[in-house]
Amino acid sequence: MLFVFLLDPLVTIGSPAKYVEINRTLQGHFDSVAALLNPPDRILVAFIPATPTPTTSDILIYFAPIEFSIVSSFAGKARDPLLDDGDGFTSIRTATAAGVTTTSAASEVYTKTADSGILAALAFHEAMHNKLALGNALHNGNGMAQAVVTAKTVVTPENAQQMAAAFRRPVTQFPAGVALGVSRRLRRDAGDPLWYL
Amino acid sequence: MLVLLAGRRLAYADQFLTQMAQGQTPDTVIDGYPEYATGLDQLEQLQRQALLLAAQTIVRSYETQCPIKAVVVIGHADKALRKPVQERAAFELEISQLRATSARNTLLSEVRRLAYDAHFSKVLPSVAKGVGNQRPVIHNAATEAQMKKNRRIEVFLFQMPLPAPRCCIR
Repeated sequence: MLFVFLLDPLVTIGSPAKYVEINRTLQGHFDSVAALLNPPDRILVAFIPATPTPTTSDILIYFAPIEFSIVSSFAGKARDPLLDDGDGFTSIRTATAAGVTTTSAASEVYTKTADSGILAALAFHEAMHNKLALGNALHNGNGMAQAVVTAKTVVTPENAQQMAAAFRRPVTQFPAGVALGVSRRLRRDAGDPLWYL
Repeated sequence: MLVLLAGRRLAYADQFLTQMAQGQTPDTVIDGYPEYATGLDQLEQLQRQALLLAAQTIVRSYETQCPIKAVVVIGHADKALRKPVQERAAFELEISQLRATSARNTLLSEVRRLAYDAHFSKVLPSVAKGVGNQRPVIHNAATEAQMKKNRRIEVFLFQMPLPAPRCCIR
């Protein structure tokens, strides 16, 4: 079984009903990808309240507040989602050692709204960047590949085909973002006004 | 503006938000405080309900593309006629500040409860400011009913429309 782990270490969503809605909507999106997997397999989407141990076939998506980017720590450079004026971000790194190229990626969705349809669409979009290891070039596609997605955006057959073909391609994920997010959450909850710096 | 209202408390945020509230129609007005009362627990059920409705409005706004990004609570007092003239203004200011602070704290704790302690409920910028008897609803209030109209808090909710959701990668 393949996994899409959803993580919310700063509790940006909060409502149990919203977690269920996002999980259910995203599961529906990934079911259309799983239907095209060869050899056949299942893709399980799940919110994890702990640090997961993903394989290189799995995907990790963080839900982050607009004040703080978890992925910036993976990318190794500061970025301010607030000034960037976007709703999701994925950083992709490739490295070559002894003739072998490895890809690693980290993705996050900023919870500016609690609209589960929008958050699920953004999560799927960032999962596409993550698994296909594509930057801006992804946005030339249709459906979920477009730069602007809404709650009504659907996973097109092309989107599902692309994702199914790439799903087992090894991409190392970034579980260390959980500890980083939890430490910022503790600072925020303790009343530190500069928790996001 | 966006930077100011996104949970980042800049030094001038309180002053800025208070100025924004001036001249606007409040979203919620709760009046009828008994003389010198500052807590919502001393109000009628219906009046307390108004504040809880404001909390619901804030939480529900986060399910839309136009969330409420800041809250200002202004507290008012009636003329403290029983106090000596030289102490009156300071006393009115103190009472109104206590009313505003109490209402703000109740509102925020209700927002946190309804939002299951979601991030936005913990960083929602808010200001509680007492203005004494500077802005009475009824000038020269003579009866207890008229004075009760002046003993009030006003809640201002500031929404910010979000653009269409888009990816940051360009």
